[in-house]
Amino acid sequence: MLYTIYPFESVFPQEFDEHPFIEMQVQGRLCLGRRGPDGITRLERLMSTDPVDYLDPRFTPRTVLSM
Amino acid sequence: MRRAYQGLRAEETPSVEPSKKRRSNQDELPTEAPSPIEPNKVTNTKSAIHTLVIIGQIEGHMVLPAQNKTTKYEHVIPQLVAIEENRDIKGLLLVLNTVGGDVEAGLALAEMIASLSKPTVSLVLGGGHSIGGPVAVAADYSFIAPTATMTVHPIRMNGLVIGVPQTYEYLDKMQDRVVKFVTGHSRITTDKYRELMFRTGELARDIGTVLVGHDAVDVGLIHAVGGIEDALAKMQELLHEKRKARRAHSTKKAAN
Repeated sequence: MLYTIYPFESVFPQEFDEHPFIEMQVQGRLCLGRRGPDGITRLERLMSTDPVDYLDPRFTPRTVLSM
Repeated sequence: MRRAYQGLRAEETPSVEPSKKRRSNQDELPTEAPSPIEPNKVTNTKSAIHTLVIIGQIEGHMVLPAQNKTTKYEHVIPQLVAIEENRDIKGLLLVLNTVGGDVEAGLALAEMIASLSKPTVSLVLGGGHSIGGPVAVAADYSFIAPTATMTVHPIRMNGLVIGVPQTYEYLDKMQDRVVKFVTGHSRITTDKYRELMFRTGELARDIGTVLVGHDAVDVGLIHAVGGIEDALAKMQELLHEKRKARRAHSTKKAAN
């Protein structure tokens, strides 16, 4: 059951995204990547709780990931 | 930090040497000047205060479409377990910018945070709406940025409803769980929280209340208005108190 300020139509839109997130391990950290229309997978989000990890340039958002 | 860095450089010496040779014509450059970001240095330094960022929709039993920015239950719960288990992690800072989400996932997260043995401080930035409320108050001490907002409103149900009285009772029970958690972990009273939840005339499309910065503190939902500096200062204070309590306990034990 959802308890959110967002209307139902915004949470469940009619059109679906063709490029969903892919969960992956990058340098031992859980990350979310996404394959773009160009076929290249880029890092979208680092899922670490250690703030120091976010200073590491290898985890800069949009970094190209080798699959 | 310095020692770890030097150790790493020593280990990496063979791989560093060839590149040094290639750049031999740059020897005149000051060797002491550090590069702005040294990857090896940052990755080998660990923070004692970990940060959990709750963003977008809190995702629970249902996988939400990819357009939603989500904080997933299955990612966050194990991270909280790891934070509790790891002796090197001393405290947890929660940063919230959420529009709400799954009731049970939000409450599970809130219960996990509230039952952590390590000091926890939350900071609501942008928004801490709906089920974000219980998550924000679950910390030992909570802050809200002056411009951040928290929406308190009733739980709704979408789609076809079969059996209206039963559905109403179910919704009421769900709501009670949220109210009990929030009132049990903050200074707000049940009557006040319910009054904010069912207030009319504040929201265009719904009943409820929008609390901006100071409002959330005035009603007793959040402890104080502040930012990252205040949150980290409070964390240090809580850590100091914990150390003091532990010392007092061990002295008492030794005396007995």
